[in-house]
Amino acid sequence: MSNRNKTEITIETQRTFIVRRRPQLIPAWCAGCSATTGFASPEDAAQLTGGSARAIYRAVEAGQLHFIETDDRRLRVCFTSLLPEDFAAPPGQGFAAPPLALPLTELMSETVFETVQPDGSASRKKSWRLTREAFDLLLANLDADRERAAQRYEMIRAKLLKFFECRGCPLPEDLTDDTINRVARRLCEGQQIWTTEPAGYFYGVARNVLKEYWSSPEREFATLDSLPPPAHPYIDALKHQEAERQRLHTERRLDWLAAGLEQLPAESRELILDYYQGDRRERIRHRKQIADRLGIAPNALRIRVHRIRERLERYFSRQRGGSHALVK
Amino acid sequence: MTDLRYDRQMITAYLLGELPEHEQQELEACYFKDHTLFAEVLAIEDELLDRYARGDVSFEEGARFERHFLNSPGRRKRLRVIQAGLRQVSALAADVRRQRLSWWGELKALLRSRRSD
Repeated sequence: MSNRNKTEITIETQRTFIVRRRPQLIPAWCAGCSATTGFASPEDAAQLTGGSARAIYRAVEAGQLHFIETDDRRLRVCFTSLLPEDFAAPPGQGFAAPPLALPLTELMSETVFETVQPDGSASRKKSWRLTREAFDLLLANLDADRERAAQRYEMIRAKLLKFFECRGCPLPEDLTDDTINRVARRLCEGQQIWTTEPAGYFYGVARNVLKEYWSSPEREFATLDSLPPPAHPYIDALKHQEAERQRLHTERRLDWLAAGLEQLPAESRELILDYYQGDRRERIRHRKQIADRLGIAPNALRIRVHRIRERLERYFSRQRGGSHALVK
Repeated sequence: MTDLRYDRQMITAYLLGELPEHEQQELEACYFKDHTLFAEVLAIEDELLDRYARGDVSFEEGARFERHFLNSPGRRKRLRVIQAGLRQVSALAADVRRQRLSWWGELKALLRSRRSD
């Protein structure tokens, strides 16, 4: 007899690609500087100054920055006018050799997870992270005005959430983020993806995301907390529905009872509430005490309470157009 | 302007997951472009949640709600918020009624005291 050991090895590798770029400057004649200088897009100018594209547009309109319009009617801002006034370029460094080492900006970051199973089969999964720059680029493509772009973004996001929710996805936020990431990624890759209405493009991408979601094994997994009560493995759907219906019915009747009691004079309300206090022997003893306190016979007390009940019954009848015996 | 092809019944069917696939796609493509239609979808969804929270649905309707509409954790969360809100409103209404009654009682007492004078 021999013992045989079997070892299974699963290899998981992770590679991360990061794409960075420097702001691009195009050389052109600047009338303000009376020299050939570098011109940047408003978004790049915003990154260089650490401000927003909107602030750059405002400064251009106020005449604080030099600018040109390219042949395809795009705004470009003079790099020199972005620099502080007391900045002096090192001697001998013209535009051909840019005076500053322009900062790198991270455009995209993608991580590939690869898993090799013992049987040799391999699976790959990509994870792409939305960087601030990619998000800014997405907003700039939605609208030149940052605030309007943000409003459009919020509206598209709300529509995507509703779409995934209506399609029965338990985590619509995740799929919405995935959709937005894919669109931002395509923009970072330099694709021109829409002409007039971006929301329609987002919808197209969202449908692809949904198709992938339906075919992925992940959709089979769901936390118990995220399941609706009828789908819970240890809750009978029919029993739950019936219990829920009963609960709502009882709550509604209790609401009517509270409202009906409010219609009674304070004395009658207190009497009827007091009358039904206690249980069995305790209740009988309590009722006797009430009768003694009021100085009436127990039978007279019963009749008085009966009349209050009748008033309540009439109130319920008016509410529902039928009679309901609520106080037993 | 809202697309007139989509009436209340159709949007309700969409929200309850009872619309055929091609009609769902058409409606979705429309509300992605049309903000007014999207606002209407949200309004009808709110009304449905409100009706369910008030128990203003039949047994069959309740089952339809729970089968698809309340499948979403987000909607279930909103339903709980609405139910809590309704309880608050009910308590507030009872409070207002109580105040009115006490006001009426005070008035009666005042009239009685004047009559006795």
